[in-house]
Parts: sequence; C-alpha cells; structure tokens
Amino acid sequence: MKHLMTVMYLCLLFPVNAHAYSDPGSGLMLWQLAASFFVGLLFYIKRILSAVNRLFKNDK
Amino acid sequence: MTNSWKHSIRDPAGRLHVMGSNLFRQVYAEYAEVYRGLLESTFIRELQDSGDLVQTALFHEEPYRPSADDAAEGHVKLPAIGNGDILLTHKKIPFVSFPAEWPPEMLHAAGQLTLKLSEQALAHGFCLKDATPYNVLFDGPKPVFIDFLSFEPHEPNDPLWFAQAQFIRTFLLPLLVNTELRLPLSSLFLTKRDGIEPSQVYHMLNPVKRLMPPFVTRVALPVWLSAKAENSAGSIYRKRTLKNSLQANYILLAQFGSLRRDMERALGKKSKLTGSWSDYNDTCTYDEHSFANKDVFVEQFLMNGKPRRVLDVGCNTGHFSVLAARHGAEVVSIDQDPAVIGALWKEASSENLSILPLVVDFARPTPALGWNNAEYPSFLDRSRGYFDAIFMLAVMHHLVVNDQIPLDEIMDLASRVTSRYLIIEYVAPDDPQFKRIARGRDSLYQHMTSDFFELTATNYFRILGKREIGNHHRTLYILEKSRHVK
Repeated sequence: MKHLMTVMYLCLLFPVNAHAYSDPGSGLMLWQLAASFFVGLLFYIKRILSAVNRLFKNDK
Repeated sequence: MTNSWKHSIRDPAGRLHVMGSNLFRQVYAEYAEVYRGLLESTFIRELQDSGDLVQTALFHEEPYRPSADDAAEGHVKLPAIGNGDILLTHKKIPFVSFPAEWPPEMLHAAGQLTLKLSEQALAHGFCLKDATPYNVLFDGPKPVFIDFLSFEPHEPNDPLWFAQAQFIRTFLLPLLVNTELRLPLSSLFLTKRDGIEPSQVYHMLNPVKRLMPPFVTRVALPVWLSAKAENSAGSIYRKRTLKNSLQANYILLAQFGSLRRDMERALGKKSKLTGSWSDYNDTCTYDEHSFANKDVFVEQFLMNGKPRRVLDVGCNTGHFSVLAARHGAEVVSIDQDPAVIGALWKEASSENLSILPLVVDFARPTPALGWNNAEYPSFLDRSRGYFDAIFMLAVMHHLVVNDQIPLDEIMDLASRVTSRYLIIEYVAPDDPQFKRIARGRDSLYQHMTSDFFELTATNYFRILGKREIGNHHRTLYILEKSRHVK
C-alpha cells in the first residue's frame, strides 16, 4: 500500500496540464508582493502605536 | 574529480575550476571589484571563522599563462583567466554530498544556514542572489555555505528577496511534502534540479489540507494568484523600492523570520523514527556477548589499522561509525533509511563527531546528475579510492538476497572503493536473519558457505584476520586489498 501511494505521489509530480509558456514561479512572486505590502503596513502601524505609547508615558 | 566536471556553470559572475586537489573560483572582471571588497570585509571574515562560510582567499589577480615548466616543476596548475578577472581559492570540503542524499534534518539545517546568512548579509548591505541546497555542503555533520558568489550588493530600499521563491521550491516545499506526505527527498532531488512547484504540491493535497497553514500561504494562495499573474507578463518582477529603507529592512527580516518558522514547523511534524531499520537493534538476533565480541574486533582493527577515511555501508544506527570517528577517522556513513541517517546526523552534530551520514543505497548508489551528467558526480565516482577502509557489517546477506548481487560483484566493487581495508561480516545461510530475508528460497543460497566466501574474497583481498563472534557462526574478517587489484 505504502509503495502504491509513493508511486501515486510520483505520478502527481508530473503536471497534468501543459503550461508551455506560463511562469510557474509567478504565483510565489505575487504572494511575496502581497505579503510585503501588509508587513509594510504593519511597520507603520507599529511606529504609530509606539509613538502613541511614548506620548502617554510622557503625559504621566 | 577531474576538470571535465561542470561546476557552477550557471553563475554569471564566475565559475569554479577543479585543478587536481585544488579548487579555484574565477571571478569575471566586471564583478572583481565587488568580490575583492567583500572578501576583505569583517562580515565575511567572521563567517569564515565560524565555519559557516567556506574558507576563501584571493589567489591571483593577473592573467596567468600556465607553462610546461610549471607542470614539470610540480607547481600548482592554474586555470587561465581573462584580463581583469580574479582568482580565489577555496578550502576543499572533504566529501561532497548532494540534497538527494540528505535526510530531512540535513535539508532543514542547510535551509536554516541559508536564512541565517541572508539575515547577516542584509545587515552589511548584501543579500543572497540564489537560495538552493546546492549552495551548501556538509563538512562532517556541519553545513557550510560554499557559494561565495551568491552574495551580491543589496539596494537598501528594496523590500523583496528575489531568491525567496527558489528557497520555497528547494527547501520548504520538499521538506513539507516529505514530512506531511512521506515523499522521499531523493525522489524529488534526483528528478528535479530546482525543487518542487506549489502547483505540483497543490495536486497532492486534499481540499482541507490546502487551507491549513503553512500550505495555504506557501501553496494554495500562490497557485490561485498565478492565474492572475499570467496576465501581468513580466511586470511583477520589476524592481521595487520604498522611500523608507527601515521599512524595506523590516519587511525582509519579517520574510526571513516567517520562512524560518515554517521550516521549524515542517521538521517538527516529522514523527519519531519509523523507518524499516529503526528498530533493528531491538529485533536483530545478536545476543549481548556476540555484539560485545563484534565491538572488540572492530575496535582492535581501528587501533591497529588506524584508517583515516572510513565508509560505513548500511550503517544502521551508526554504532560502528561513532566508534571509528572516536578513533580519529573521518567517516561517511550510508544507509537507505532516512530515519536512521537523520538520527545519526543529530548525534554527530551534537557530539561534534566527524561523521557525514548520507541516505545512499549501496546497491543503487546516486547516479551522476545535471547538465551533461557532469555537474554532480555519482556516489561511486566520489568514493572510488577515497576511503582506506570500508565497513560492511551485517550487510552482505542483504546485498546477496534482497538485491540479488553475486558475492563476487560485491567483493569487486568493495575493492574498487577502498584503497586498503574491508571489514566484512560473513552471515551463513542458516542464520535466522538470512533465512528470514530469503523467504523460503534457502536452496538458492546453499553455496554461500564460509569456504565459498573466503575463496571469493581472496580473488580481490588477502585475509589479515577473522573471528567468529558466537552468533550463529557469524564471522568478522579484516581483508586487505591485493596488490594486483587496481
């Protein structure tokens, strides 16, 4: 059974559809761009939060 | 290895030359200034001192024309280089291995080293232009980054690491499909140079798993997004810069951290030893006395023979590899079970033993791979004549029965791999282990008597010593290669 599963997995390694002119790495790149955008926003949110924190500490 | 091997042929900044026992890296003129400067930086010096980066030094700056006199006088032979090119030398890693031969633990260690170097390079204004396991070799159990030309200057306002997709294809996804779907790493790396694509992993997953982390972000989303990317041609790859370099740095460090966590999680899911050999020590037929006899015999050989380089074939838990390493030998241990090799790598790493454990089946050793079959030499090409001793302990009967290799062939190959000694265990056909794997075909192996074994062995070796170890007449032999055998 284990060997059968391995053979099945190996079969899956070969693409079912031929994408002769497509770029298989483009999805990873787009995802990296999207993730970078959100992490970049987080950078500014953290900065604003720490500035607000500092403001309150100074008030005290 | 000869210079006909095609090492590092894809790099636009330079190439590697193997000249006898020396390694030279030619850096082309337009990149020479960058790498000369990088070589002098404290960052690179510290990486070399820690052993994370291969030892590298500037060797020659002028075009060199090797002359006949040089060869006659035994000078180091140098490759010819162009005007303005520079020549670097690298310390040679004792035994070269490839990702197809690594257990998941070693692939994980190579990936973590790549991320560590990426982070450190970023702090010094550099990044890695590629991220593949082929940039890492193992010196004993320690991973060493070998591709000096992978470092390139990094624009501080650039928030993207272009090598990230390659890192995911060649480190993270192979590790995930290995630990989650039990796909052997060798089946990936023997057939693919650049790892596995998210779309290929996507088809292996059931719909629920596709939505589970880390598959949802590393596989499913990239696959769904790739349909959109088809319409954007090459525009997604254009260079992007942010106004704030601190923000760009923050984004990159977050990417490295996220990859590191996913790698940790992937390896964490790997269950305890479950390989076919993992319980060998519990199930094999040795009694305590016999095993102690075997131990003493091998230890005496190590003390008297003082081998410098040992190949332990079918090493199992690596008991005798550890013994050889503790006696000062540099050991390469091979077994077909990734579970035992992974465990041995962990032991060698934590105890700092000079052992390189590899997932290699001696009956089907790693073939030559890559462009022209000349980028990555076969296991036997790397092994022939390199070792001065081979251990084949409790292995012979498996090769004879499971792999149906005639004894003469086994002796012939062993005599080509070792430059001197073969330590081999003879297991008789009436041994319970032999009978178990013969599965009722005992009559096929009745000729495998000890006399037949010795007669065959002496075609290639002379017998220096032998001892019955008290376990179903199992006998250990110290054989020395005959002078007439090349």
